[in-house]
Amino acid sequence: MIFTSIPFFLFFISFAFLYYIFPLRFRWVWILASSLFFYMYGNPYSIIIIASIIFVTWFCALRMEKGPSEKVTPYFLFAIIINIALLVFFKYANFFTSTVFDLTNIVNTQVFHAGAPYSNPFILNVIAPLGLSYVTFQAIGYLIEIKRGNHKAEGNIGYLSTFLLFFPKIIAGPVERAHHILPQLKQYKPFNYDNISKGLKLIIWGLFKKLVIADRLSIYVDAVLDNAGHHSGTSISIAVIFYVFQMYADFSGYTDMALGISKVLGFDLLQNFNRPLLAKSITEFWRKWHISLSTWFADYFYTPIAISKRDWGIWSVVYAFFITFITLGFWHGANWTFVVFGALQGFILTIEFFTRKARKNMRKKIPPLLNNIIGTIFTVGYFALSLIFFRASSVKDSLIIIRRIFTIKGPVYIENPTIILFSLLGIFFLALIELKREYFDTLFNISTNRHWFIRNCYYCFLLLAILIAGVFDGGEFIYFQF
Amino acid sequence: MSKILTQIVTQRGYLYLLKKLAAFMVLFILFDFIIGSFFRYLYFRQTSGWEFRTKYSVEDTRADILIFGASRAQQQYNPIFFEERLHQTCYNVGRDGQPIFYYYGILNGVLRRYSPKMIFLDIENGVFNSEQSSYDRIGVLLPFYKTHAEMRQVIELKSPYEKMKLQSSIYPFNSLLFKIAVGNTKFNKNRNEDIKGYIPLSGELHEPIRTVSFLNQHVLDTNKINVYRSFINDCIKHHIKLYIVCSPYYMKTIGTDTSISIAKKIAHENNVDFIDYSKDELFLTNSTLFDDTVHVNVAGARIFSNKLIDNILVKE
Amino acid sequence: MEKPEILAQLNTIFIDIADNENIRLNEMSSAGNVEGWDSLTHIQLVVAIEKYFKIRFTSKEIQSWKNVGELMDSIAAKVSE
Repeated sequence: MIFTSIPFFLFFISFAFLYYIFPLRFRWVWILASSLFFYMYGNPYSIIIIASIIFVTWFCALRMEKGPSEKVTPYFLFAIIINIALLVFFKYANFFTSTVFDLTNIVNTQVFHAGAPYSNPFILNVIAPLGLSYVTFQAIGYLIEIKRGNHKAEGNIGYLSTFLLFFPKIIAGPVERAHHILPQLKQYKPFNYDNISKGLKLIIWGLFKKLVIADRLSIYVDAVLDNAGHHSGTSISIAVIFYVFQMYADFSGYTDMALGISKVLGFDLLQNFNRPLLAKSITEFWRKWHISLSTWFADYFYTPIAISKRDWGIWSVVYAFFITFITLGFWHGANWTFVVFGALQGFILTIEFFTRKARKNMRKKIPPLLNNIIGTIFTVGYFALSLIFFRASSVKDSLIIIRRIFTIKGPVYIENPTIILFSLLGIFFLALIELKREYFDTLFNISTNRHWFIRNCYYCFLLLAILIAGVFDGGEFIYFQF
Repeated sequence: MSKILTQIVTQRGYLYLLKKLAAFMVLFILFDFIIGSFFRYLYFRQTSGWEFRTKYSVEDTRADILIFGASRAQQQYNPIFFEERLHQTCYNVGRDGQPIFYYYGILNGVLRRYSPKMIFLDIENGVFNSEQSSYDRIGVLLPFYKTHAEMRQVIELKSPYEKMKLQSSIYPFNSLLFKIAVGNTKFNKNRNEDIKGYIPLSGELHEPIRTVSFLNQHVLDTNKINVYRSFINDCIKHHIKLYIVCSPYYMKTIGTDTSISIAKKIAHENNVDFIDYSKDELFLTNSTLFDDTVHVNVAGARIFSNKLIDNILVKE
Repeated sequence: MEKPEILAQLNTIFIDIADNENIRLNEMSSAGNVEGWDSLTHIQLVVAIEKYFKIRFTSKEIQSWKNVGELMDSIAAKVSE
């Protein structure tokens, strides 16, 4: 069930209604039951894998705390290995078998099979359980915190399960911390009008970003980038820039919905996006983009690596950058393109790291407005470039796309002007809101206006915009006949 | 229990929330109705464009001969020849990219008003393949849901939640804002040549013929097959002379597409003519008659339309 | 070594590494409220502190500090050894 579907809408309404009728003490049980239902809807069996992860994590954490001190490390390692092994198996089994297969290049198909997808006979068709990597990351974070002695192990497996399975964050995060959620689960959460109002507003804003902006942009992006060989450099450049906004609207929209849903229930989840496209460098960008994941990597991956290699001086940081971002890239999916995506981040972060004093001095000589504009253009531009690798199906395809951008001249592809118009309007509106929040936060308050009518008109407008311009299904499409 | 009661009566409790939500809903429904009505007004007074063609097919055409299908109807059957040689009026109601649900929806709209004398239904490879996009594309018929009860059955196939979504007055016109606006201007008329629904293609294909295998079976959609049967039955019931046609392809085939075999079989069961041009030598050997491998160009359309009419004249 | 002395030295190191003249550390200062102190400069700070005070921290110690106060406790303990 994705948040933008009607089944989820019905599920959530009935769930939230019953949630506030449940006795305060047992509301977490209701959350757990509903999360299980949400998780098992569609594919009931993968819960077995998640349940084993939860059990191992819970058990080992307790043993680490209660058992003799020489047993701490074995239990810790065992739990970590189980977590990582399952993640690696489910996410990457296909990747490794297909890499071997591609290298050996056994089959060569002569005849084009109408409608039948070309299938690799050696691929194990392994389907990863929903939200596996989120559960694993959160479990690992929990174990490390206990190992470091920063937090107590949770005795009640019910609480731990509710934390790991909490349905608003299971599909796309944020990557939560146990010590951020567990205390909230144990807190009594009485009905609170402000929470519900704030939560619903966030959900509407997230829906708007996802349906009106992201899904709209994806129509043009898919049409051009999936057939890049037929398009001019200009069209590809537009599609690539659109893709940056699509990614942002899609991901942050979905996160806003997750935060909103949790808020309705009285929970605060971690902030995941802080207007990243207005960052003035890629370093700053990564502090504002998917924050819960980048801080997770900073705490449990980057910092330990950099500290252990600190005798290398400044190179320890560079080393840690590359290892961290290549891993982060690879986590997105089993494909070399993600490795390149990660390496590109490591590369630019290194350069920014070495030039930061010089850039700081330079900034003092440039007017702030110009400085902001240059910074934003650079951030969006570089991120767009790296996203070409993120999106393409192979490194070779990405390089072809980049070459076309610079070599193939031609008109902008406009098969369906409606889509371009809606796309530009969407980006314009998103930029307007982000700029306002970043630079003029106290001016023209519409969404938080003190007049009830104006506030409500704003949210009505967002909902109406979804009905007018949201993408509900493939109803609007670009029809290709190459 | 007492806790819950306090929550209900306290100032910012459940009742307060319900009151606020209700006020918001009233505002929202009001806006939805006003904007939706405006869209409806604009939609039905369009004079050009794709949406206009659909609206014209459902509400206006009174042609004796109608041609149904997707792009392979719209871009290959030139009504001028049908009119000249069969001495009857003709309109091409084909629409690019549309599945069989669309053809049947339009047929229902037409049959409410009158019975055409003759119908050509163009069927293509994979017409019964199970594809989600076919259901999504029923969306273009949503504007007719409110006023055309006869089309509701097809429209409701779109998804189990369609009735719910159609509570909104704006929803049927989702994504149509700019198209409807342009449809009210003369812009489209200068853009596409539209000859009684036929849209000529001007390209010319120059490439060797390729081979397509139909040995791999596709999953079929029983809804589509049932709609196809209904289409045939409705034509028989209204005494319409129906021809089902598979128009030319520029490709060699291994085996036969399952959809086409089934379509043929059902046509025969109902004593409806099924005319197959997909293996016509003239077209298979002349790439210059095509715009791409599945659509003939202007010249190809002239030859194809006339060949089909020859065939009909012989049969009559 | 007395706490105020350590704090003064730390302040000098922080100003140098974080490239921020305005840093005025106190016991409650942390990465969250000192501009220029982030996961990138953190490593450089650790290296500089170790060098200046001629001490060596364990990884566990480095990851356990929540603010400057705890950092100073660690330094004081190491220096007096």
